[in-house]
Amino acid sequence: MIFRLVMHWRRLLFASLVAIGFTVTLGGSQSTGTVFSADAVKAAYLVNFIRFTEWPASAFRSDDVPFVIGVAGNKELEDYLWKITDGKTLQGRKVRVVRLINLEDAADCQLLYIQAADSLPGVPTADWLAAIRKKNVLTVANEPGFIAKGGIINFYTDGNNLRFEISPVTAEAAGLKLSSRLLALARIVRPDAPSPSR
Amino acid sequence: MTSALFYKSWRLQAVILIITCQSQAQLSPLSNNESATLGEIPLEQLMQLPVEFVTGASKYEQNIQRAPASVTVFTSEDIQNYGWQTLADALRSAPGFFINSDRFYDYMGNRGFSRPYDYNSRTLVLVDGHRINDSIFQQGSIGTDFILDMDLVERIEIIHGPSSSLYGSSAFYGAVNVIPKKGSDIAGGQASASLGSEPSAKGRFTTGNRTASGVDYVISATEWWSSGEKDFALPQSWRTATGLTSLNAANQDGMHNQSVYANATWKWLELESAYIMRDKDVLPPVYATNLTDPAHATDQRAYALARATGHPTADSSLVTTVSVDYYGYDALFSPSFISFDEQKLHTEALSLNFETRWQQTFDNGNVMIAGLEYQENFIQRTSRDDLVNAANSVSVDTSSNYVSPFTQFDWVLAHNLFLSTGARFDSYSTGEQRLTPRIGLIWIPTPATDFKLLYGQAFRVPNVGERAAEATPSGLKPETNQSWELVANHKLNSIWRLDAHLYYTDSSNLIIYTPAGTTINSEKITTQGFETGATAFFPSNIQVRASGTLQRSYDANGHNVVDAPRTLFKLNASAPVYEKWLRASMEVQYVGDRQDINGDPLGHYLTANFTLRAIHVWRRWDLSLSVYNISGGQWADSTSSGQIQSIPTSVVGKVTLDF
Repeated sequence: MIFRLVMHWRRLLFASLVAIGFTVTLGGSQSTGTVFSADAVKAAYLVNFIRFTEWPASAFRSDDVPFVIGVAGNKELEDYLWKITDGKTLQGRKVRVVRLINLEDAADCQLLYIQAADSLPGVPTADWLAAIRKKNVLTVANEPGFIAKGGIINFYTDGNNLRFEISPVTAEAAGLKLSSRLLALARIVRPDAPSPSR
Repeated sequence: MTSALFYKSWRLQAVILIITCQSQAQLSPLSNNESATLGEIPLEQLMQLPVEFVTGASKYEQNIQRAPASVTVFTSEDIQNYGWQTLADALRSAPGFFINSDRFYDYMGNRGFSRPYDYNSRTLVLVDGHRINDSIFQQGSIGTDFILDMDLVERIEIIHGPSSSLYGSSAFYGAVNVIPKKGSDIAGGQASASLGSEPSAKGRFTTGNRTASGVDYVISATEWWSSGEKDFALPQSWRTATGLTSLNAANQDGMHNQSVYANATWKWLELESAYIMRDKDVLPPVYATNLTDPAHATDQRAYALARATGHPTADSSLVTTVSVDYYGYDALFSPSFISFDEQKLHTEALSLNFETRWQQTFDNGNVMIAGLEYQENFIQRTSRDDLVNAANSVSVDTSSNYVSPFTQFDWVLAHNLFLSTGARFDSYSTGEQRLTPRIGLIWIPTPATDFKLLYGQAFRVPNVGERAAEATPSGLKPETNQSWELVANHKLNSIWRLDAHLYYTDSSNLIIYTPAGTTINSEKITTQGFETGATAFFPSNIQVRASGTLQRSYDANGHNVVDAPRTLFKLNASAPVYEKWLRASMEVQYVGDRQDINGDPLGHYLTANFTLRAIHVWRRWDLSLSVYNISGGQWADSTSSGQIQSIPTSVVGKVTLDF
């Protein structure tokens, strides 16, 4: 009785082979991926942030300079950004993704992603933010308390999903205009009242 | 002789089992093409994409690559795709896990260890970090007696290996952290109904949302009824042992449960409460009852907790949780041997738990956690009343507490090298004191590859039943183990990721029941194991997960331990079969040869489940049809008293309406 199952193993093996078969067959086709890497999703978000933000003309030295995305301390995100923006234009400009290895270069970006702990200079988030003060730079990070430190957009996780919070006051101070679509999807916070992100 | 009777099952024997297990979930990289299209995904859709993180391994959210443990993560999508009805169903497909079921409770084998009567007291079960194992039997319920409806589960984090350095007692071979959905995940109402072939029926009503004022709430209620197997054929061994001639135990496998769950989160405050009551008819082999006088048992669990989260500074958080937990157990039965008198079991436990933890992130990336847990077990009461001969009755009525400071420090040694050091000190009013450390060295040489070297210790204090049965007064020591593990993870390409694990666990002082019914600390058990796994996420949303485990557990004399299969293989595959809304999922599981509790052979088995699911049809409907154990072949599982047959083929259809 116990071993009755053994008699069925061939059928089960067949069934599992069929399962693998259709899996592999269908594996090559179709589009729209399910993405599980947080950095890939972040890269996609950043591109969207750029689409839904308006920079003043003063943010760029001339009409033909590229749009610069600076990444401090997240090589994986940088790689994804390269791939996503390759051959594309954002804000009507070519795109350059720059790995920031010193503070001085930060001010040349239009978007700055900060992962201070892993950045090469090893300086705190506050130093990065100080380096771009009064410049038209959209600052993004994924760290609790980023908004309170003076950042504009901060990622947080809600269950399995990556979400973002925005401080419109800070964006305004940086001369950036965020679209209502972006604000509608964000958790709105004030720099002086950080909401707890678990 | 009588002392063993504190236990929920009947015949407890001096046997020890072992095996070893584990696995890993990893992040999936994307190919150039996929990355390029990723930029085209609209914001609204991005917000719905699942992203992998883990919270249970360190009590704070961290990238899974840097968690100082091997972690497997299942999501609500997995639960729905594969039609997992209980937590045990999910664990069956976790690498290295194997489940024994005596149709009363489900018992998990993990890291080469399983005992069909230990009530999962050696693996910690948590709901959002809150301990479910009770203060009497330390039972981690995972079957139909688990406190949450699986439809309410957002994710399951399975932490392989000892986790006492954060969680204390019972996190002996691992921890399973179940995270419920938030109101924003429900975003409205849900009504779900399912019908099964046994027959069984289940209904759930859930409402949840995040209001404009920022209150996130969920309220849910479930009722579940099952007739179980109508004509249960008693195993031959049981008939021989009891002299029973009848073959069938008709209508003795029924189950009825009711559960409710509620959560409200507003700003810094979270309130949560859950309750389950399960009535179960218990088949004769469990309590050694006869056919004419079946056993019946009721399990109840409830908790209410309040959690406050504050940010004293921008770089720190302070989380404080206070909870009240109730556990109750009642059973009535007439055993067919030892004594023929009718027995009444009653257990109740009430405890208050307080935990506070401080997390500080430093500018150089180091993270520190320091916390304190305190639990007061006001009521720990368990009794067996002999309804005929009162002199044979026994009872324990006690109370106890423990206080446990813990800390973990995660160091960034270099941009690709991380060290995690943690320790916890537990001090029990019953006398035990234990310091359990954990160290993890994590090296990420390339974004596609990481290595982990892990060392941890764990312990489990004797439970109330074991303590009451100790052979010599205050003679029982806590069980302890130490474990080493080497983990390698590699992302092969944009689709496949591979993992491999080598582990070694030494467990000492394992508590066993002697043939006389007393408890003693037994000898050492060693487990060696190798496990490898592969997961794939194809761009077309096809998901594959496969794992294989080879392990050996042996005692001091070099003998293999009981109920420890040396081989485990699992394959899960899920794919859209028609457009995006119709999905087929299949799981295949192989469990190698084992021995039952008496040392008799239990054959290997291969089983498969299939689920067809229609997602968001007519906008608001979710339909699924599951066939469990497709081939219908039955195998035997080990129980506290021998063997019991697995459930034959069953079919469940489910309809869920979102409104």
